Amino acid sequence: MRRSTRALLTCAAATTLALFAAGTPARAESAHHTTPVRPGHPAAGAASGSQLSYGGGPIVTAPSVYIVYWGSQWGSSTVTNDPAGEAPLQLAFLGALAGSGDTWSTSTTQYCQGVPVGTTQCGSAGTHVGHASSNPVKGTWVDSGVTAPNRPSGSQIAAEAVRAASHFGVSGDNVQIVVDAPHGVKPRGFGTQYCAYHDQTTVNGAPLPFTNMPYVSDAGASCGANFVPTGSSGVNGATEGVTIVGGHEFAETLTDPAASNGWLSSSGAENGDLCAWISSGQGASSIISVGGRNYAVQSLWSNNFNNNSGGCVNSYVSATNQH
Amino acid sequence: MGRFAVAVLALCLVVSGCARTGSGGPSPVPCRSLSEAALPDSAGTLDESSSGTYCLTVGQTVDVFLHGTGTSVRWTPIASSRPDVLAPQRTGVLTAPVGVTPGIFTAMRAGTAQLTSSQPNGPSWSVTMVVS
Repeated sequence: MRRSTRALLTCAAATTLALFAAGTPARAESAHHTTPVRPGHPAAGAASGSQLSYGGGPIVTAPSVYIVYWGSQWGSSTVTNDPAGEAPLQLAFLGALAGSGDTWSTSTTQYCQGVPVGTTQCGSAGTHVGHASSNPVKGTWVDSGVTAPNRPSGSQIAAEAVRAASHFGVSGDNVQIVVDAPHGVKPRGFGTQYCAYHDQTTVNGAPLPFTNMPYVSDAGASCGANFVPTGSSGVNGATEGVTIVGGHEFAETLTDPAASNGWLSSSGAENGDLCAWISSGQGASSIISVGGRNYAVQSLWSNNFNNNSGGCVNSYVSATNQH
Repeated sequence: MGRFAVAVLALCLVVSGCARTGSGGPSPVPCRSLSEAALPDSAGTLDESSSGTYCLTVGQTVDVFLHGTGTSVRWTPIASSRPDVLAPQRTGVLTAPVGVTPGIFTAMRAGTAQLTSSQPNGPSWSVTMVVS
């Protein structure tokens, strides 16, 4: 009995000490939320020294973009309900990412496939990301045969991409299906967790890269509205996110269409992520001319910038001519 | 004394799991519910208001979105204390909103890991993830 009592008291003491040391879970976590960190802790933001490396998967060698305006909310056969004018802005921007008039997306052409996993500089080796010589937008479709759900899930968006691919009769790594949600439709997480994302599904067993592209201006400043001062550029600040976010996803799909094994940093970021929402300094988002028209864009990560140390660039002509 | 001993024993069993130390099994933990998932193939979501203990089974993925203040005050990249238990995954598929630090983690094996982040000169954030 004495042994049992001693054991119980020992246990009770241990319990008390444990409680004293750790506090209740709720109290412990509360402390975590308010613990100050040491001064000078680096801020998160634009990465430095975060080279992308090749993961062994596909890249896009011949970009082909297809846009589906998802749901009868857009209109019956043409886009008629587009209060912010996102559809024509997006179409013009993506359509201009070709030829010599575009030096914004061309930093992607330094990345390649057919080289060893872990490669950071392709040089002339492998097969490189392609840059269209003319308009890469190969088709648009108002899918008024369905009504887009008010709060679609990821699987519903992927299903719409498959539906669009079937309509266009396309599939494969070179295809980008952009699923445009109509004004007022807010996919789960839009505006608070993401502005857009790209992913890959399959159609008839073939890979199908697609982008979930919500009606970006519905999220306001969270997704880029008025992020870049417009000055006399003619750019509408309210819809800057259409090209900032849309360009981000376009460029990332070129270098990682499978959304898992293309060109990624050690932390899993792609060429757009490393340069997102930079407001000053090297690689700051800016308004540039693409195809003779001004657009707000973010910069893209270039491994061979600054003597191969890497950085965010808004213009890329060659490894030695970029900024 | 007998009643006291029983009461202490009960306290031990409920609060500290002392009686299980010989068996090698973990103490039961209260698992809070993850918020609704937004990304494909996710079990749920955490944000800066999340605290306490959350549970996953091997193979499941949790998304984390920490909201800073504009572009000037952001959370640092979210770290896992045990990448072998809870491994960081690519977040490159998404464009995060302005000031949001995302993290995606997949449960790789049974164990416990802390997810942590902090703001410069500001608060830190942490949750406990138990993988079974």
